[in-house]
Amino acid sequence: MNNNYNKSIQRKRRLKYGSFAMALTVSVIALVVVINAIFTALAQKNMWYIDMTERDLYTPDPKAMTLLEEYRGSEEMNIEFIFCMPEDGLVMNEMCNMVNNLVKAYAEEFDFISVKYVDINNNPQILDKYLFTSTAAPKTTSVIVTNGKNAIVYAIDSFFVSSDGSTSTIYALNADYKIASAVIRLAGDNPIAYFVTNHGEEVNGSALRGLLVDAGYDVRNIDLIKEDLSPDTKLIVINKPVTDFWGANQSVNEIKKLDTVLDGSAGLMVFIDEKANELPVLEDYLSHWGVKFERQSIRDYENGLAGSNGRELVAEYTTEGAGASLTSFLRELPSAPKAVVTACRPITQVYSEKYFSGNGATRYVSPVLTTSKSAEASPLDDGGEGASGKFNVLTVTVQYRMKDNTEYNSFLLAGGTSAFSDDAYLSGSYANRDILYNTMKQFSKKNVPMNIDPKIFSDESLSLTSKEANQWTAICTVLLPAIVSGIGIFVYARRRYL
Amino acid sequence: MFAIFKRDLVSYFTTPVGYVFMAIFLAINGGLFSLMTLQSGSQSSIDGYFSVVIIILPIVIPVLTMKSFSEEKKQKTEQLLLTSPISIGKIVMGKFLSVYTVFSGTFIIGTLFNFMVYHRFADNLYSWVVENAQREGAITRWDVLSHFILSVVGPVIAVLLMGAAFAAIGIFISSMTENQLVSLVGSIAIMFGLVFIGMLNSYIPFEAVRVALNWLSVYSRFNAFMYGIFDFSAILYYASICFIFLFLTVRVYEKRRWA
Repeated sequence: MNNNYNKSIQRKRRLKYGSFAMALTVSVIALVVVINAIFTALAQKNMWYIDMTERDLYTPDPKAMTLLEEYRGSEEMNIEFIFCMPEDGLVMNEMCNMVNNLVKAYAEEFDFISVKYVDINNNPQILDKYLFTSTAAPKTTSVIVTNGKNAIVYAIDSFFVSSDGSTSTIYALNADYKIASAVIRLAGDNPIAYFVTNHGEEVNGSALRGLLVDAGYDVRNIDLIKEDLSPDTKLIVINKPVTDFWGANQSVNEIKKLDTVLDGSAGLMVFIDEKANELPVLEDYLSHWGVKFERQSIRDYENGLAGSNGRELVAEYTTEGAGASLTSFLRELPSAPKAVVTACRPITQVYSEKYFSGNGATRYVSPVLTTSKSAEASPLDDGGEGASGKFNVLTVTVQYRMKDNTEYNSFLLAGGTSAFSDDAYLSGSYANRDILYNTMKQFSKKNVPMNIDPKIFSDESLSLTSKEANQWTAICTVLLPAIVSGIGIFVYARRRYL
Repeated sequence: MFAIFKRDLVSYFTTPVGYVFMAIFLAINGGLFSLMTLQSGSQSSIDGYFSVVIIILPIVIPVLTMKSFSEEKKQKTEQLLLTSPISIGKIVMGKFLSVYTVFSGTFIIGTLFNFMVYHRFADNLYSWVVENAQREGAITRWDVLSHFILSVVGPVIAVLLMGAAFAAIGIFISSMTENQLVSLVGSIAIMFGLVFIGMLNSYIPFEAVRVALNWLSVYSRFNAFMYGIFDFSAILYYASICFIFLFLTVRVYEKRRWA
């Protein structure tokens, strides 16, 4: 028995002392390190984490997911998101880290989306491979999105929404919208959209242009006097013209070119504001589509936004007709977002609803947005007449035409303000963007990044005066320590003297 | 183990050590929180507060741990431990739990108090979210508050786990020396090393080395929590550090017992 006891002591001693024990210790530590390394690698690959943010910043937006489902199963689709710095560097930049995590979440959900990291500082020649058609020089924080044939370069700021365009005032993450938009743009479905020029239109800097690009349109400018519209045109935009179009009496008939395309399946968006001169040729053409822009300016003091003197007003949704169908999805929301129009002209319906045009087409005109009943319209010209009441500010005319047993559908969206698509109103909190997208979706292009709202960061700012801040700083710094110290002194005194 | 835990825990509160630690930690914690939130007003940042808290942990935790085993060695009561019928593992765990209880209790009390003060002035949290939540229908104050609490719970858990890891490191260093000052300085050096090692990355051109340093860095692991991600690999990392250093402490004392 003594021998057995001694042997067991020796065995225990070997495990706890000596070179064998040292080897055992090193092995255990190595095993823990290996387990950690494997788990970390698996966690990064399989996204083993919980999104604890209030607005689900790292979780794909369900509406974006629904949109991207359209492309699942397509063998030709292969969209690569390329970050221009190694992943360990991205982690240290909060904006890049947010976008990276969200893109990885999308890549986890969709096989056709992949993520890659390149170091453009140490290997700048890598960019030659990816920048096929883009001339933008990316920074280390840029994101290149490519389908193997075309590439788009996004600055990291474009994935966020800021109040004044600077990175110091970002207040929302707009990456879901940008990711969906990038996929749509590179998916190959890029119908042509033209911005008409040469009449003083706002073209290149227009926020509406950015919207169409995000929706995947191939956006081009066109001077109808010198060029012809492509037969593949899906959308034409006349944005804030100042001078009139050339008509039948001129050497080149711009209106005829428009009409020829709209006889097919295409759409026209016209935004005319107060600054436009009289445009008899264009307005005559539009009257055949059922709309007339009155030479008046609307103010609504009861429903105007604060500080706008009635010029910036909240429009009301119509509830009947084709116009109502463009906003039904918004009106069904628990709290419908507002559509805002500013410096608006009233649009009058030339015919009540249905109109048979000369080319065998049937047109239906319907308001989309109106003012409230308390609006007032004052004349733009001296001697003109004013009016009060409810006015149309956005209308839609839909044309149905049969030719050779084929149905052609076209539309005209007319807005009495060019500011409907201003940057300020295209943010997620207003309905303007989604109304435009829904128009495109219903009449022009199936896949648009509609209803994908930015994820707004929580506002951690505090409302307190300097005096309150100083008072509460003193309380936070002194109160609890004073209580603890008091207890300590009491306990110490008791133990020592009692 | 419970006897050791209870004895050590009581010793923190029958001597000035525990009270001094709690008072200093609560004062620093409250001061930092006020600086990052109350004094900043419109620029208030809770992430900023947490990123500063993890820098003071390597200073305050060694104050608790420096005497864990060093004192036993200096006062020659180590022999009693080594010859006791309790396993070394339980002794080490008992001491670790007493240190951790004092640290975590102090941090939780301080954080709760600070966030109650924060909530008193955080009206913007409610009005802003409700205003911009048009598409989601009615949101109650409790919805906003619960989401806010969830977003803060992650970093708080990460700080507590980091505290556990640092406590384990401090106890290990304490077991290696009988001089409390050496234990204090050694612990601070190692903890700061782990916190700041990731900051060397910008100077290192080799990706494999950068990945390894990021993997080791306590601060890099904590970043995910500040961004609102509850990262399970980081949880395992902190638990592993805790395990490794407690294991090493046990090995050190096993060697002494059997030598």
